[in-house]
Amino acid sequence: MDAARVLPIVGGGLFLMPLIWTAGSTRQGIIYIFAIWIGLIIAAALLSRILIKEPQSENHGATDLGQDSGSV
Amino acid sequence: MKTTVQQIWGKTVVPFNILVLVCILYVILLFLVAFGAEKRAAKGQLGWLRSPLIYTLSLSVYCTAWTFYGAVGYAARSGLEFVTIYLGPTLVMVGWWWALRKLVRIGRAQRVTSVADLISSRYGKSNALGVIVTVMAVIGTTPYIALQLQSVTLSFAVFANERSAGGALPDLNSTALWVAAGLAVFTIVFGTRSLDANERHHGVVTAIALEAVVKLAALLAVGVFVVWGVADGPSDILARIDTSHFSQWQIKGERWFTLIFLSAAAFLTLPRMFQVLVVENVNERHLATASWAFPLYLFLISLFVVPIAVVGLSALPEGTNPDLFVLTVPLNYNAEGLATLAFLGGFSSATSMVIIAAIALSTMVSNHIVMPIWLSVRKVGATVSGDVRGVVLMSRRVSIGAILALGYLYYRFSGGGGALAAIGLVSFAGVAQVLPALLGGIFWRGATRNGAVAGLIIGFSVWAYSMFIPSFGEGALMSSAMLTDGPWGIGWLRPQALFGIQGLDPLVHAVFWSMALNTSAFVIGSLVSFPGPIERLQGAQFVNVFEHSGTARGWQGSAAEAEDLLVMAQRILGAQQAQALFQAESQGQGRDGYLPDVTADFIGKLERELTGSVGAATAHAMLGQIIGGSTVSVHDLMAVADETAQMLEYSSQLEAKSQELARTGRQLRDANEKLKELSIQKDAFLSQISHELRTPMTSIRAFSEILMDGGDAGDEYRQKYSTIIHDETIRLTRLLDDLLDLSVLENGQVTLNYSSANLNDIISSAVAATSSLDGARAISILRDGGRENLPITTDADRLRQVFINLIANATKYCDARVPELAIKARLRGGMLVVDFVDNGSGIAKRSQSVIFEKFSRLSDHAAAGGAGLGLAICREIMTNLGGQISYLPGQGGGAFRVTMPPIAPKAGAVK
Repeated sequence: MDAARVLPIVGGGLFLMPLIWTAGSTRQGIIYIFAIWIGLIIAAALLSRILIKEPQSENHGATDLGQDSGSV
Repeated sequence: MKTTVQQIWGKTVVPFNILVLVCILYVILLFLVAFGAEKRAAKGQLGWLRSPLIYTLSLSVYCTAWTFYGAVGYAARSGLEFVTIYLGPTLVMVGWWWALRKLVRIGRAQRVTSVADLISSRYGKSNALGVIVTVMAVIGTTPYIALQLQSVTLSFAVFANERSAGGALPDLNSTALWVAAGLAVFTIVFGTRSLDANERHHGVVTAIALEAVVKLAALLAVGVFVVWGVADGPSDILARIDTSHFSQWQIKGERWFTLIFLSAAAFLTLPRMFQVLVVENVNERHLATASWAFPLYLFLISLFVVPIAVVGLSALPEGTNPDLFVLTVPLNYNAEGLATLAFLGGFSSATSMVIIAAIALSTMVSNHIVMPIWLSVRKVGATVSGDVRGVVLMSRRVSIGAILALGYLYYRFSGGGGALAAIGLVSFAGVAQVLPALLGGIFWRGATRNGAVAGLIIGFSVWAYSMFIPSFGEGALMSSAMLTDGPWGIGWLRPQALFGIQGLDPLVHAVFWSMALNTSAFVIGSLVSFPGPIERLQGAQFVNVFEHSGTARGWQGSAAEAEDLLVMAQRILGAQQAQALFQAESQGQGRDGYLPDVTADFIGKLERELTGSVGAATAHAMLGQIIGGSTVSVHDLMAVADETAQMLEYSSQLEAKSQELARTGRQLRDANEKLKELSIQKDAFLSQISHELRTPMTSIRAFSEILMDGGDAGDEYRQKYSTIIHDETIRLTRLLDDLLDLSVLENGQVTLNYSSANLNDIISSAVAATSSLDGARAISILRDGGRENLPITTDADRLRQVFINLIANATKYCDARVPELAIKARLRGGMLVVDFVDNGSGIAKRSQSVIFEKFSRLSDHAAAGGAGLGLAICREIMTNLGGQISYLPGQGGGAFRVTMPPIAPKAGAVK
């Protein structure tokens, strides 16, 4: 759960890395950004699997609240 | 084909008419898909309609025609900067555990219908806020809709241009009009089928998901074609990048950062994104899947943007619009089918955005502007008959039409110029102004309505002044003099250099100042103002949504008639659903029929249902008309009180409880002591009474045996023995009489003979009776005859029995050398009080509590006569006479007080 909170911060930090590049080529930039991006996606996929399976310790309520509306 | 093939730039092209046909077929397909999905949903066969995949794909309305066409153009102009627009949402999705999860939970718990509804509901169901956010959303979104219309017409024009060599150029404006009208029909048909916004638009969402697949497939196909068809694989593309005009890394840091922030903010606050993220969400778990799947979608969408851009730049002649490379590059290489697919991709991107945006905006306009006006125009409002649903649905349909008309007009009058990306960013910055109020509302309980209003208005004004109005171009709405010198020549008010700070990128400048001033106004406004009760309640519900997922009550049991409520609910929810709701509640309360008791809980529940249809503020106002204003009970406020206060409350409750327990424990201990004491007394008495019974019995038996033997004893002895037997029998009889007497008194079966008497006479006769007792020690009795002269109506014989008992006790037990007994009678507080005080050692404190119990006799005294029933009998007599007898401690000896009314209550009743 804490990892899920940290992930966007880490990702944001890495995405902001290009700010401090003084010299470099677009080619390197593309490879860097897309590599970070796919890494972030994989990390999020692994985390979401864990978070779904984890007993919902923080939210006591049911996840599926929307079944109560009838149809007109 | 030969007749339709045109030679422009030396390539074959798709005939325009076939393109129109393909387009119409595609639209028919969308209609069929939406219709089929609605059918399935109506039958309750949701199945894959509710899958996380559909949810993820529906999020792709983020990728509009601006993405589909504009991203490539953006990349062709400024290299990798375009990617920031997708990095922001990626971070938001990856960080779903922070904000999105909470937003979705709140949206579901509070039946939120739009971003304006969320803000309005959070800040005390304030309709003013709803109106502000709605207006901002409409102003911010209209250019964006215009942008979609423009992209569709431009893409048509690409094909039409090719055709134009041999035929008439179709009117672009009429194309835009046809597209706008078609979209309006689709949105009205599938977007306003049902009223409850919480009932998902399955048809629309499914169609959107299909469009998401089409646009991704189209872009990937063009990308693959470009990388492996035109170029020689990735390495060739990288080499081409190195030779392009953006080969050098020239990202401006401040723009890079600002754009990531802006796209993240817009992702949360764009009305259409809120619609698909929160309102159309069917299951919170889908969010977990979307947290990686949607970034993956964005990743794939972005993957081939730069390759298409570099190939377009190198292959197409100078001056070709880079925004249309996705179409023109395949056309350039005679890939007609691919170009058609790309066209459909762009068409999908544009239409999906417009449909969802129109649904979201029409809900906002109808709930926050039309309904409140309608309600206030018809003062009688909520209770009159007639179907409100018709009004709401009609207002939504009209709103959809109006929004698309606005978009079309904007497109017409802005002339369709300008780079696509620029309009998109202006729109993003506009809707991002909602962010402080939104995040503040769900994370900060101190945020108030006034703060939110101040922040929104200031942020929006700064945005309009420094970004929106200048975006029309110099001299359009703002003169060029004003842009360069500021209004009236005031330099520090220049729209693109506020406060004299120059040299910033205009976008960064506008976003920085609008967000900074917005946030400051929001925070300061919240700090200096004080939230109202409903606002506090809602604030707690939103911020602590994971702790308690209920709705704020805010209604008190009132005089509202269940029937009035049913009438109103039927008109908003529809007769069937409203009746089902009322019947369920009625059954829950254990009643029959359709009219439940109007409890606060029920009104809260009803309000929540109505909120799903007409928004929080309107639902609240409508119920208010019937119930007559809402109040917040102390209990509700307590729920909002700080956790510290709640802890204090709880611990003081615990303390009170533990004190009570201690008190009870003490009482139990006392009672137990008394029981033990009595048990000991009883055992002692039993042995005593056995002894008492046995002694006379023994002598009776012994003497009667002697008499039976006859023997030679003379008449004198026979006489003596029978006298002893007789006396012993009398003693036994007296003992049994006492027991019987006590039992009769205790059961209240005694018959009392009331008569008028004088207290003096009764005491005198009691004293006389005791002095004649056999073997009595001499005790001097001190009396005040004059004060005893009090009239009394009671059972004189019984009262005398009490007095005799007390005097006899004193006579028996007073251990003074010269025993004295003082009898003091007086009238006090309407009661006759007679004290009997001797000068002996009195009764030990330990024994005072048991002397009036049956069988109690203080064993440390030499037993004399009685069996320990005397005082118990006295107490029963006094109770029967309406008085009482008690031991009077601290009188320097044994002291008893007899208290009684001058007229016994039962005697009075008899008379």
